[in-house]
Amino acid sequence: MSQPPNQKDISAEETLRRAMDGDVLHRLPSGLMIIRRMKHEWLDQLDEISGDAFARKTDKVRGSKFLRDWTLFEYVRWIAGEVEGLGWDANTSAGEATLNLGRNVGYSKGKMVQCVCIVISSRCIHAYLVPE
Amino acid sequence: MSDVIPIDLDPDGGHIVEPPIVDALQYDRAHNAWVVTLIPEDSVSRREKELVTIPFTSEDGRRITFQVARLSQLLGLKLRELIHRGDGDFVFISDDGSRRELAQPHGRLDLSMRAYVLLADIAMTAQIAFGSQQAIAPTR
Repeated sequence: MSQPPNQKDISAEETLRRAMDGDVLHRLPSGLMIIRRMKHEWLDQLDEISGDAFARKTDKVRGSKFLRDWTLFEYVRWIAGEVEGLGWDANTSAGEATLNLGRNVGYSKGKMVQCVCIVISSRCIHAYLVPE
Repeated sequence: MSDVIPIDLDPDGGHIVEPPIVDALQYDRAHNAWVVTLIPEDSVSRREKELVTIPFTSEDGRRITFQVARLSQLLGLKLRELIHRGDGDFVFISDDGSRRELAQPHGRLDLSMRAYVLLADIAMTAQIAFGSQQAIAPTR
């Protein structure tokens, strides 16, 4: 996320953006699938609110939110890299892992957080933010 | 004369749905179980989500199967999985990949409310199963 995206990345992002909520963004060689979860994506309206309203928009009912620079391309790339190390495969029914990235990644209940929880449920994988 | 009970459908106001909420529900054929990601009540867990696996043949599993069948009938599709989209919005995905979305405010309030009742039952069943599993294995 520190490097500017190249044309290939932008094209990949555009392709991923066509996926609907709950659709598969990427299939891993193991058969696991990274799923799009739009409730954890940044919304333009979040730029214009603060305080209690912002906290409500990032609470557990509306979903913690990754920062804007977490594009779907980066989201998929990051999860794919981490899942390899978790040892999950097509026989993994359910599991979760919380990772501290040591940098700001998004908001949960209005507070900036640095931890991400990756969840696998029936071969489907997604991630959300968790407080430290 | 009966009193009118106002229902807040404003997404910027109070929540139309409150935890427990099903964040995601999938049937794991390989393990013959429902896998539920759950948004728990704060009194059960302050985490945003909890994960629970419910054997298909257990009492809770059979209850979820029954409610999923009722949801399928209500929505007119053979439900394979459901995903929470935030607030009172859900997407339902069928075996053939077709989708149906339930968003607030919904044109058919009656359908929405009936679906929410079934979703709330599934969520509560999953939360109870989660609580029971935690009681058995407290050092999670």
